[in-house]
Amino acid sequence: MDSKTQLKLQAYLDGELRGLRAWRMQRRLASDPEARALVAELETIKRVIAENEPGHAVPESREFYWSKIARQLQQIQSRLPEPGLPARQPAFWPRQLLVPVLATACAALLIGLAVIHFTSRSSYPIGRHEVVVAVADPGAVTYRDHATGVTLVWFSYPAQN
Amino acid sequence: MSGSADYSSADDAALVRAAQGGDTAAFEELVARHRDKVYSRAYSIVRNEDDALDLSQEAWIHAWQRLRQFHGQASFATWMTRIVINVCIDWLRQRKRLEAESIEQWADELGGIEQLMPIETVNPTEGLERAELRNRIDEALGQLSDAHRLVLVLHEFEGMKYRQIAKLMGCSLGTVMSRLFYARRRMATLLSSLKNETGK
Repeated sequence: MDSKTQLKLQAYLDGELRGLRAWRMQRRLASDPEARALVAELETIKRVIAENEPGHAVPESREFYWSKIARQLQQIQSRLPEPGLPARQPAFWPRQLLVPVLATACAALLIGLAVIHFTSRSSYPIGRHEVVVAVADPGAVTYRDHATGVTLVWFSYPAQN
Repeated sequence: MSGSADYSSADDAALVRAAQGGDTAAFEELVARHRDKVYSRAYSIVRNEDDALDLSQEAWIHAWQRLRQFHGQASFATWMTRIVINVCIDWLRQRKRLEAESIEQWADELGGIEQLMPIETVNPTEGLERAELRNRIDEALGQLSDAHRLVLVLHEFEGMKYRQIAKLMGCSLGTVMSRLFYARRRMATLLSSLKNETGK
């Protein structure tokens, strides 16, 4: 008997086969004494194990066993505002950074596009305009073209009323 | 709920509700009631007293952190058992104890050796006292590899289907079937040899 058939017989025994597959195994069992012997062995060992699970009791007193759990619960509770709630996941912090990072990226993109736009249209050589990022407010970027007298300011944050 | 007398007479559902509200004394009562079952499952998987103690306690911490997710679809004991199984599987996986490490183990995984084992035509456990039978089963379980024992524990003791086991262990259906087949045949041989050794 090949390995595949043995596994199918076991699957039949475990109730994992349905319909035609189960019927094929029934036919096999009816005609093959070796298959019957194998299934009988598997069935016996399955039943014996399932009915006689070895039990193991905690080799510590209730108080001692609980004390280690209690210590850890205290640590968890000191970190959490409300007991029983799941601990705050470290995966939250990138979401908090997402908005400022995206805003900065958008501002940088706008600046880049503006520079390309003005330098390609202007007959003045590059160098007659400047882009300034104020140290006091890195969210605001100023573009100034001395030749045309144009000044543009971009804010990476929404304007306040 | 107040007072330890109330806790000992309360059912699991009431204790869970109290624990979900942050009552650690109610949770302690749940631990006291189910600690043996949780520890026993951990021991059946890792086969080491100290590791089983640590893992079962870790499972209780996980349970406390996820108590709000327990809505009583299954019994609390079943829910707890599932948690400790997951903790143990993660632990075995971290230590790479679920992987085949030798040629012999690879052969076991792929199927082959178990085909050569003679079929046990007589029940190897017949005539044994229940306690003796349990001892022998325990001893034989200890001689299986972690991967084979785990499949056997999940199928025979937890009553899981092949597909559930495959999902839990992160392996194919074929691997589960092969491991279970090998584990059962090996158990039959081990129990038979234990019987012959003692002459019963």
